Amino acid sequence: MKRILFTILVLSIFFLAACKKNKNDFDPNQKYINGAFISNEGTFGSGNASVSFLDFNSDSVSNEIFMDKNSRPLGDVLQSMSLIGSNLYCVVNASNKIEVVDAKDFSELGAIEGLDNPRYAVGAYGKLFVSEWGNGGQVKMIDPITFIVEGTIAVGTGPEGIMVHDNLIWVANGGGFTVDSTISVIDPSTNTVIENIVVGYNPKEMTVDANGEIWVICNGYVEYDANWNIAGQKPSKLVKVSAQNLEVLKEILISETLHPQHIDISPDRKTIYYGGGYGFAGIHSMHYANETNTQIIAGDKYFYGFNVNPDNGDIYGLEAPSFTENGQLHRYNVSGEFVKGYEVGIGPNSVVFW
Amino acid sequence: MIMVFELTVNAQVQKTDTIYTFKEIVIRSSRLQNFAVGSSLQKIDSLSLSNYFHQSFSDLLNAQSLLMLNSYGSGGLSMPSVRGGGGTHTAVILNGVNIQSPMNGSSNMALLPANLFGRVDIQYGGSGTLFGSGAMSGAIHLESPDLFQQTNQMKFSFATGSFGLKNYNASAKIGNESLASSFQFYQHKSENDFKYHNVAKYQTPVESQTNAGLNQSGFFNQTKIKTSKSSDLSSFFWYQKFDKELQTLMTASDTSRANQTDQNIYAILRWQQSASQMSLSAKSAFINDIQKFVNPVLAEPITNNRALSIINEIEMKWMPGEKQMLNAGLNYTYEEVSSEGYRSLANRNRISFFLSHKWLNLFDKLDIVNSLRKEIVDLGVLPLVYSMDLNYALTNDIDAHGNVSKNYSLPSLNDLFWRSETFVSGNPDLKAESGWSGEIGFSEHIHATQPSIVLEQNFYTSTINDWIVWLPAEMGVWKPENKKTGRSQGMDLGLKIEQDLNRSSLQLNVKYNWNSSTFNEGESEDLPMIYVPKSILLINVVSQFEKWNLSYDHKFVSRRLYDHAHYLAAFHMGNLMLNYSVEIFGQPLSLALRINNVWNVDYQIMAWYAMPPANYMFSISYRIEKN
Repeated sequence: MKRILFTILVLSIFFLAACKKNKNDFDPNQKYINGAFISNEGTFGSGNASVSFLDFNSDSVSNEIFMDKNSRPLGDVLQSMSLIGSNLYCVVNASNKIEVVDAKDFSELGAIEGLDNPRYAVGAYGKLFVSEWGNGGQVKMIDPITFIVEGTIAVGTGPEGIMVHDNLIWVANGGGFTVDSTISVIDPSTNTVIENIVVGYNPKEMTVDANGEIWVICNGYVEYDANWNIAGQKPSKLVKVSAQNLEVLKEILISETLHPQHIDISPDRKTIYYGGGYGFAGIHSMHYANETNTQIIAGDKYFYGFNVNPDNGDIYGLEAPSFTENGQLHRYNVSGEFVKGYEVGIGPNSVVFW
Repeated sequence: MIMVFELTVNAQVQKTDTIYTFKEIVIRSSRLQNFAVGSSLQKIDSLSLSNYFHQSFSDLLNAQSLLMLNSYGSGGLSMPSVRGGGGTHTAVILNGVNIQSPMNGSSNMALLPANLFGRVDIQYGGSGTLFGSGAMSGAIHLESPDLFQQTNQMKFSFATGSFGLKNYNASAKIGNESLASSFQFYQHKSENDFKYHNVAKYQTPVESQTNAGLNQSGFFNQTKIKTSKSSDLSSFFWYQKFDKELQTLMTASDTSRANQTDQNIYAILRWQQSASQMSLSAKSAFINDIQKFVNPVLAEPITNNRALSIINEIEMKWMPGEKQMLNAGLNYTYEEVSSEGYRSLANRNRISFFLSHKWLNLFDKLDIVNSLRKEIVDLGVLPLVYSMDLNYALTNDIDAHGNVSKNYSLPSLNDLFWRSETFVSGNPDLKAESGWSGEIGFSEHIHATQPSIVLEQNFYTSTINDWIVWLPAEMGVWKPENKKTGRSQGMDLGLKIEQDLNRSSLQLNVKYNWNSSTFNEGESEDLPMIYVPKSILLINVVSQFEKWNLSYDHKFVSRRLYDHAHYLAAFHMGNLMLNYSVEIFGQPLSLALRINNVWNVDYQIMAWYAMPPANYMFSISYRIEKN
């Protein structure tokens, strides 16, 4: 087993080395060098998903960078983006495709088609692993260079966040339109689910702390009666999972009635941030070890998504006031102080730092 | 069919050197013709109706009017937009009955075959007092042919064209001046598998449109009975089944598998009695729309909906003298929707009372109409709406008209009660949208010599408050709210030239609309409305030479926002029609060739729904008439 894992690890390093073009490598045509790509969902059914770029050097935002470069729309509902080397994989949910671009200038490299409600993607072991809601919940394995689908692994309902840690692929089964309470753990050497760990209601995303343990944000959910009155609620939680033993170590109640969806972590992996989604005010932080809340950033704002800059710890809160107008990016420093606001595209949901 | 009575008053004005008929007043039962004297009206002429005989009503309106038909692909859902209003702000009145769906508040113009109607009028601007909820930006009036005016006849027609188009039509009318009936059967099919350059995809591949086919068939019957010297009873029955594949979006990487089947029944019964100065009419309508939506990729792949409207109306007209006319009526409408998207049956009862008073020919120059309407929905009372219309003869050849109208539009039952397991929810607390509209216009008739020329100018403004929009709320659940205020200003210009020559005639009709529509959501700044162009230019040319008829329709639509950041490109659309008529066994045979999108323009009406390139249709029609 160890030999197999070692072989996979070596192959992965070779693969990543082969396809990774460092952003700082000199390239006279490189347009995007030091900044952040913002994923803007757009309006469902309108085909107006877009990508914005915040240039750290000029401190300004360029919107519509895919359309500007390629003279065509990105598609319908950009759910997420994932980097492998300088290739940026844009997961376009309602168009059932992944558009692949060169992050250096956003020129198109092709599209991965034939997907079924794709949500999030992560590159590992020479493959692109994509969570999909189709067929009751699955992960597709795709060659990131040829774009050929190589296999499918069934997971839980409505899989969302997907990440690589400790030689395993971790998938949060977010419940889709219904309910799930598990994360699926995939062994990439056999492409099988080796464990479904029960966490809390509707786990959406995960992150890894300084001790190498997994933190899962469980959204909970709201039950309605026939008249649209709230009949009951399942609580939102942070759940800590042992990456070693694949078991739950701790559950921390966030709220019985509020339902944050997103999680991220500070550059030193000691401060966990959670928030975003609907009706949850601000971005909350918590120390990974003593599990005390340290601060609430922008407690008067309702962010649709957020991310933390892994280089300096700045927090990027994303506001989507409606899905017909442009959204806002609010940047906060590590102390939670507002730094600057920027207009981005319609329905901003996440940031990929570059 | 709709006439209760006709009373003709000839008002003659004598001048020093000429006698001319100032105005011939024909009092008909149509509320539109009698009381909308301050509105801009457009009548679609019979030749245009004939040119679009094998097309949908959406195609006809698109080519012949200043309306925007927001079509979701070829043959797909098509909602009219007038002067910046939304799909729910244009009332569609069929034989005096509003057929807007209680479920979604709009009418799908693609469902209506253009050949069912004998008369089509478009009313630009609000008319909530006359036609009730929904008539905020405009109204489309459809009338089936008057059987007592038609000769007995049989007609057969067949059309074939690009992308698998086939159209079959058979109709007959029999009867006399006491009893007449007509029947019509039709079927329309198309694969819509046209090729287009997919500009939304990597390397702009040439693709064949997928999942866009349609199959439409129906039956139509009208009967009219003269029940006494001064009364008649008429019935209208129409059944249609429309299977429509919901076409694959240009941005989609996989083929759509969604489809929708609509089955519609429209039944209208109308009785009319007239005396010398008074008329009374009563009508009942039963409208049942059954809809099945299938999309295998959704969590709930099948949704069955049924929308029922039962409309009863009694209306009285009275002319107390030569210069006054009164119209009063009471309308009771029951609406019901059952849907798997609702948790339970949704229904509502609506009662409205309407009253109009008209001064005719005051000072031999002026018509004034004042109107009121009050509606009660279940136990909720809507504000009184009122309007004033004026028409004034400035000179022998120049008319001025204007109106001010308060209008409203009820939330649809979807807006109120939709509740599925997915993230969409109705809002029972919604208010009715309300607003004002007003316009002033002029028309000049230059007809002393050939060619005859008519010029028209209309200037309008309108406001819609509490505009209902769907927005994401708690937990990602989308809910409708009374959020927006919409404002529109603009002008319509028209030029019509007709020239009759020896054995031929030429007609040119040019219309232009400039419109500025914005909306506001409370504290935000005004934003331009989406899918509303600044400019629409319409050119219709008809030339006739003996048995030949050549027509060309051209429409220019300026660029339109499809969200608040992106534009759809402006486009020109031209349709060419050539018609030849010949007599076979003494009866008219008509051969027609039409080329749609003659300039082969790549365009989109709704974002990322591909539209067909240049395509043709050939048709043959044979009519056997007996006088």
